[in-house]
Amino acid sequence: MKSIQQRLFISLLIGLPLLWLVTSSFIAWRLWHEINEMNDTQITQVVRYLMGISADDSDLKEVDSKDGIPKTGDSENSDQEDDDDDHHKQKSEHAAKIYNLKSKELSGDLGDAEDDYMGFAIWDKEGRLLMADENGQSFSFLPDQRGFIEEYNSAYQRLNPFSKRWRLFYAHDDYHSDDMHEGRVIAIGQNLDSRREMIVEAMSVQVLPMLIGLLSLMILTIGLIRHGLMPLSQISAEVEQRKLQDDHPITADVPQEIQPLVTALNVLFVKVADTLAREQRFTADASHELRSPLAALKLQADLLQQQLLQLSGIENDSQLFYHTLKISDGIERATHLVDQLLVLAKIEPQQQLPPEQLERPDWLMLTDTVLSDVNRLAREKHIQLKRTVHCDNPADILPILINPVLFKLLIRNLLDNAIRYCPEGCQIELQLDTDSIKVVDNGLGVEPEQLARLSERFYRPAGQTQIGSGLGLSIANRIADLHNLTLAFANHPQPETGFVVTVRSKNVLSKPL
Amino acid sequence: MARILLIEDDSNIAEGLVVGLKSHGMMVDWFSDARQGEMALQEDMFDAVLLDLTLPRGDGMTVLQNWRYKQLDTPVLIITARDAIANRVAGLNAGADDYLVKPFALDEVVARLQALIRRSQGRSQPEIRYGDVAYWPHNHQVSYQGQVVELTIKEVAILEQMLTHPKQIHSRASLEDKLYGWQQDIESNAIEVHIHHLRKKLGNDFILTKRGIGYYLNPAHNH
Repeated sequence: MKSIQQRLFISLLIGLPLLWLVTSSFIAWRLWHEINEMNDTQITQVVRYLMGISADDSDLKEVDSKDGIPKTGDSENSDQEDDDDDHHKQKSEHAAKIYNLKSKELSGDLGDAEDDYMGFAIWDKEGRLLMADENGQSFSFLPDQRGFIEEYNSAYQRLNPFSKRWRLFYAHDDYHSDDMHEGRVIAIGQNLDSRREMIVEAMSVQVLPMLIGLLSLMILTIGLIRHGLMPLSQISAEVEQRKLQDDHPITADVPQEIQPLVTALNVLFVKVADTLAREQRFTADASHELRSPLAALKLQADLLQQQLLQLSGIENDSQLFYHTLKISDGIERATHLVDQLLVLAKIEPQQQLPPEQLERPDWLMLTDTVLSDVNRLAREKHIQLKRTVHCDNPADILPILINPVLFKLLIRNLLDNAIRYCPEGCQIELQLDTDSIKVVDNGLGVEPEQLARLSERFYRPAGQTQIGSGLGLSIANRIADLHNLTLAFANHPQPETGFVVTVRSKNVLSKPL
Repeated sequence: MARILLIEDDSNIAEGLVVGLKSHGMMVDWFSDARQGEMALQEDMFDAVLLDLTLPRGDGMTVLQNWRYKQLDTPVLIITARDAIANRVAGLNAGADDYLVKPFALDEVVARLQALIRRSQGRSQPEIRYGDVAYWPHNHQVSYQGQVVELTIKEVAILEQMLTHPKQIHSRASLEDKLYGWQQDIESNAIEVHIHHLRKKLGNDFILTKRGIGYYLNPAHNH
């Protein structure tokens, strides 16, 4: 499951803009409709005015007259208009009256008026342009067209390459009986860009505040969520660092929604710590209880051996000795198992080693002790022990802090194992290096499929003749783990045979042998 | 003859100790109960005490504390099934002189008790005699039939090991372990050579061989 924070963030990131897009589209659609309605109404209104005015305009016959258009009521003519007039006079035999409406300055309050995007043109029924403004003069004469049409006005495009589309309204002046006005065609045009601009402006007015609102809402929501979930991450950090035996309740101030979880966790902590303590106590008690019968057995075996020595000379006494020695062996093995179990019971529940027990070891001295400990076992099997230091300065060997008692046990267990499972006359080498400690033997190695199972508790490859508990490597593994080290088992590559156990720091990737 | 007070509730261990210590020339009074054992030391003289910590009707540690409180300073060797260092320290703090964890070898108990008794009587380790052979540990002198015998260091080491554990069979490996550290190469027949020399100097039948098992001192000499 994704995190709540992530899910909220993603849904806000997608959902809110989507919502905003939908509402904005709806608004834009409505707006477009309203603007169209308004503008079209305006155009038809203007057509009506034009029709009405031009009907009374008798001047239209006198094409040379310089009167202003009736719509504005302004008769002033500029020089530019004269030029335009001259220009058009050359083009058509009927000189059309062209008004430059833009040049007409209006005075007074113009309200929020924008520059005019409109144009108009009036033709007689033969298609001769009678009257137009500078936009309208390029409208095409469409004698059969009535009502709205949209077209590209090439002339206007020349002036402003970005606005092409015009909406034109054609009307035919059919209601006048006199020849003069009969069949006149009036066209009012509006640049569609103006409408588009209107809608863009209208939308932009609402887009910006909305975007700002959207962003602040997202930031606020995420902030609130993060703040709300803070106790949760605090609790997880605390739980992660907890030791298994720790049964102190979590006391962090958490939101009501999380409180049941914390309460349940606290109950669990107590249960876990309790179970663990009971398990540990059981192993310890059981091991201790086993020691007394073992002590009795050992005493009796010792006595038996002594008595046999007194009786030396009787027949087959070597055979009798052999059997008493076997009894002693068995007792030793059981004792060893009990010891290992106790060690395991002690170190298993530990999450980390108490810092006050840690120290920088003198590796040569430490390994000396361990090698001396296993010397007898090695001598029994005629196994040669060797120690090699693979760096110039012994002070550089694996520079870590260790618990010397446990670490001796670790190395001892590895050497012990090597001695037990190597054939007689082998050589076992303890290699000390700057980043690792290795136990290398030239014995038979281990079946590849057994390699992975070696450190399992009580695992002993089938057909073992050696005494052993099957706990040795498991303990070694646990001790290595407590020191943040790893234990790697491998067979020696051909042509030599043998087995290699490498102890190295967890952070370093194990390299091939 | 040293008198030992044994307080131990496990009868198998106790009987073994009684027989075993007797064979090493010690007399043992055995009590299986804390109360009785505590009384015994107050009423009688003992050279040393073997004390188990877990006892019926009272804790061994309390018994020990009571004795020390009453100024009874007989040396006490604790035998216990609990081996945690904390327990060991607590035992020694309560006034114990030594500490042995079960299971232990009979030899070990004997050696520790002898050391405790010697120390409490202010005696240094005397010579060890076995038949016609005498050995002085402090200067590693050896005599045979009253005559000083010159032995090599390795021969002395072997002899010492066998004299201090007289009722044991010593395997070749265990002797090698005492003689050579782990660094030394394994000489296949070095021990045989040393034993051969010892026999030449101390009499041919002083050290016997149990074929395939090891060497031991001839019990017939120890009278």
